[in-house]
Amino acid sequence: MGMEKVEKLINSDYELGFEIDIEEEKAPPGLSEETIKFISRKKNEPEWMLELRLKAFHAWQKMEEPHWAKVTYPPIDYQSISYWAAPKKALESLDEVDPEILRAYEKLGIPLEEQKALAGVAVDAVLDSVSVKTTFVEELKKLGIIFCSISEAIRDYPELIKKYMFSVVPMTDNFFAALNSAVFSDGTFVYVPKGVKCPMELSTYFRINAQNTGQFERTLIIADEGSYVSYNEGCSAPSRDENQLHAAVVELIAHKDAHINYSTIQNWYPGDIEGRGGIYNFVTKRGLCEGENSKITWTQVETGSLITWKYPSCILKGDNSVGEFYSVAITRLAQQADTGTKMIHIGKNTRSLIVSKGISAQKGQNTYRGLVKIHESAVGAKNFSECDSLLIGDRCGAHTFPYLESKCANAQIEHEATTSKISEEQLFYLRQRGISEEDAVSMIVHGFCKDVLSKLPMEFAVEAKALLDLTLEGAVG
Amino acid sequence: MKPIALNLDAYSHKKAIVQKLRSMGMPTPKTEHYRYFGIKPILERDYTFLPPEPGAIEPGDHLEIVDGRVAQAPKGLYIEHLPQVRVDDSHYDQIYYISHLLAPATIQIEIEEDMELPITHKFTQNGAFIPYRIKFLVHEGVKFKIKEEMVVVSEGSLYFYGYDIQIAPKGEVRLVSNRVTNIEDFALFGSHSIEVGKEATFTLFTFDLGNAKTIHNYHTILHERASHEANHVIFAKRQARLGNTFHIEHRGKEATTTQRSRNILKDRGRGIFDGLLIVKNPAKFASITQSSKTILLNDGAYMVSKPQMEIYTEYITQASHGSTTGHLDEEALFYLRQRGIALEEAKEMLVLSFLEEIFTRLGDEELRREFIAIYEERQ
Amino acid sequence: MKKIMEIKDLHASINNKEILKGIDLDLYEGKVHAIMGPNGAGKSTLSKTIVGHPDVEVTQGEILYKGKNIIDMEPEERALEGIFMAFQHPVEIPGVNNAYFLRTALNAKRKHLGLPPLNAAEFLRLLKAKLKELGMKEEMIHRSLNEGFSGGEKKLNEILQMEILEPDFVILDEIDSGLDIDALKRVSDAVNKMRDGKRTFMIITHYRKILDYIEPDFVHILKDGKVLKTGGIELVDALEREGYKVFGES
Repeated sequence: MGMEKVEKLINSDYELGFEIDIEEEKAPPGLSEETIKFISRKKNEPEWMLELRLKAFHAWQKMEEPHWAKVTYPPIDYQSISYWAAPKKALESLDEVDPEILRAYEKLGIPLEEQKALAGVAVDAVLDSVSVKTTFVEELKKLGIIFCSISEAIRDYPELIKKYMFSVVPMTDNFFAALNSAVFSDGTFVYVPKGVKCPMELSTYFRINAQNTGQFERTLIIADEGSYVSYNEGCSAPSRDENQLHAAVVELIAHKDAHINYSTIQNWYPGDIEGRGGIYNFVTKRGLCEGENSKITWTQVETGSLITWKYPSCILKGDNSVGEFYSVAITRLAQQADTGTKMIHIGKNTRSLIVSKGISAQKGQNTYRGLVKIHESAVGAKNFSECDSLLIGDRCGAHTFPYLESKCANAQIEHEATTSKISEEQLFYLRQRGISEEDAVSMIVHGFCKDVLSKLPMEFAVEAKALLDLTLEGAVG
Repeated sequence: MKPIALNLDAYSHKKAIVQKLRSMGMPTPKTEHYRYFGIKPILERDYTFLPPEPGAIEPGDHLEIVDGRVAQAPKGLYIEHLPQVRVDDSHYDQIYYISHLLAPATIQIEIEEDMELPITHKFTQNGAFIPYRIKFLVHEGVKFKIKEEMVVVSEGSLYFYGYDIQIAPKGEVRLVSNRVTNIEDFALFGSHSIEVGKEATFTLFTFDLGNAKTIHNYHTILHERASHEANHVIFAKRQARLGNTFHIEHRGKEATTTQRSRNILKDRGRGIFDGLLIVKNPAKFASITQSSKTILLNDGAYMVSKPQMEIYTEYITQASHGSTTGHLDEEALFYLRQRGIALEEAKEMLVLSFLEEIFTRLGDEELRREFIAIYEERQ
Repeated sequence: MKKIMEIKDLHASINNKEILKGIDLDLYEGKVHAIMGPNGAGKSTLSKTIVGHPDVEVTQGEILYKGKNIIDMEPEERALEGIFMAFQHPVEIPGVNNAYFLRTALNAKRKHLGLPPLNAAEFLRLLKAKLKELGMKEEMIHRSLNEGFSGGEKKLNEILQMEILEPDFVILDEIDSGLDIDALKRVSDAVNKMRDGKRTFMIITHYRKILDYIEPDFVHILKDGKVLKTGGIELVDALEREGYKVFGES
């Protein structure tokens, strides 16, 4: 395609690149026992939580930052990061939310008020590190569903937290998970009781704002026997020059016959064509299919961040449990994404499905890294993986690194992968029918991603499609 | 001597290699291509270090290398022993450099005209650690066929060996490796570097059968319009760990790679297929395909399959890989048994049909029969 | 007779190899022009040049369409101006829904004409009517664009697009290749129905058969990148009898 056009479009600015000017209360940069005590105190946490945080911190101090992923970035100075930032006062209702924040959300296309409410979506919006607002909680409460911030859950539901937090992602699981365990600021907690089907999509929007502040979200979702919940997480961040670190942890637990649907749209600032100012995103997401016939579905659309290191995984422990992973990852500019999934088959007749679509443009490097591991016990297990890559331009890269391990004779693994470019013939065919080059590229890319986009909840899918177009606008001509 | 405690300072005369090794470090269980092999106990063991010194060569009908020393060679084959040779400066395997460092001389053979060369490697020393290297320089347009076999009687030993093969433009090399290693307490590391010149061809067939621990690491570089076909069969049983790993690098445009791996695993046998295909930016219009298929004959047998691709250009003609791991087709098995074929025989029939594609490509009836004989013997 | 397209001294290359070596050709509004010629004569290159395929580089000459030189126009601009090509080998585009694609194309055209876009329901009504006319299965509109279509289905899909987009100038690039007699008849019927005295057709073919169904007003013989001869159906008869050599060397 026309290179001039590409170059012209590359320079279209990041649409969400603006900063919210609100007063921040911030911890001084640096990480020590004192910092952790400060965070815990700020959050009025019980003593046992502080002890857990310190335990994680001590473990983290002995760990090394992993470098096996196919991403390169300058060393991170963990002592120059500020580990705590919060809006100054706690807010009771929407009316108290700073109009500036509300305006910012609106600019991001996140109407926190009526629109969402009318759409039947309860929103737990996280600005920087503290929950600002939770709606619909009352309605959910009637069904026995708990939907609140992690901080509240630590105070109000200590038994659930003690039982489930760190049960899927142990605090020492990996370097970034340990860091998160020590300093996590806030996040979301969901508990769906036995037999309850959550009647609405639960959503959270994350936003990194405070300069030089690491973002350490923690999410815990528990679906008790026979329950169902669908949770959407969407992200966007303002433009800036310093690289920002994000190390979130998400834990999901699905009991017998329960189903958790977890969808993500990730659109953090990717940096400029040289990678300046982009977000570093090192996330640990893992779900445990604890009970029989349980099911966890991960769906992600990743268009942002300078560096992405993320492998939403399923441990298929319960017999007949199912893990699914649907992913679209787009890298352009100087973005590097090393993402994929792990499907660990332990229970009998467990099934997993992986559909990964990687798109690279400009200088973007896109890596699929996936592990399918079938234990001896997983008799009758089946996996199918499909990993397709699409290259746009000659400076980008597409990489596929599947790890397929099987110890069970009565199990099946099937993996297929292709790498292709948008063919000139396809592009020309569409243009001959009067469709502009940009629309034609968008059409082909949407077609390429269709299997994944169709898995998103309706409303989220519309957003994802819009985001895809927005992203491509800057990347292809 | 413990290989892990290798003292690099003692090899200051091979400065470049020492430097390279210092930057790479010794291989560890975390080294990507050794992750599933269990390298640690092998390298930490104490062996008698027996670097092979060149000696008298008997004339014979094939090239025979006994414990790293050329014992026999066909007449007219010009063999040199070079204390220093140019090495591949971008190999991914540390053991490639260690073997070059420790081998007192590289056995270098120039191939100036079309020829077929059978090679037998004999491993006879017990408790020994023996490194050796062989280098072939294949001249422009020359067709060269190697048929390699192994005889293992050694126990408790560790051997490092490997080929450096340089194929000049339009040369054709076909290497058939029949690697039967039936002693359990035996470890072999092959670390190879093959540079395939412009419009040259490299065809590789490997058959790994046995109970030992062997791993072969191939770094293959393809220049413009070079073509590479690689076929691998692994049959591992008991405690065997048999692996092949690859970095196949397309450096010139319009080169082709086709890779097939067929693995059959029994008992606690472990198979490793770790193939990375790299297409660099200038290597436009590459065509690469990879397929790995595995049959596990029982639970506890273990297959690790990593068909991998790194692509840095959108101008690719074809790029795809596939991998399957499963068991013998129960329906097919039942069908055969219903026709009166005994279970074991039916299984064997299906296993061989699974390998048919590779045997067809090999086109060597003798080797096929040999393989079947070995396979049957091993049941 | 009004000229819709005038091709003047057109030279064009693909991969730096000159294929069109000075084409002069007038095409008239409402007429059917058949282009014939041996392999390598430049028939396909000529059609690619008219629709602005990126492989083709025009080195000399011009193509005047409705009085304007279109050489520098983007392919989609030419399409919106009413130039439609039925491809010899329509590409498959996985995941792109056939109906969605066609509505996008139609609405691009309507926008160009200053008409409001058709909504999904209006479009579906139109589409279903056309499908019925062409005897095509309704399920094909839910399938991906050309994916898994048989050769005949692909060609019919091209005709369907033509009917919906209602172009002024239609190029049928070997539409007859790979069609059985029944499919050829359906395609020809559809084309004949579209002949309304305004719309111009350029039929590129190797074979006489399609010209029995779609009667041409003009026949042009191409050879070595030039128009060797222009005439009527009698040229085809001569060709049938004696091959291209009958026209001698120019």
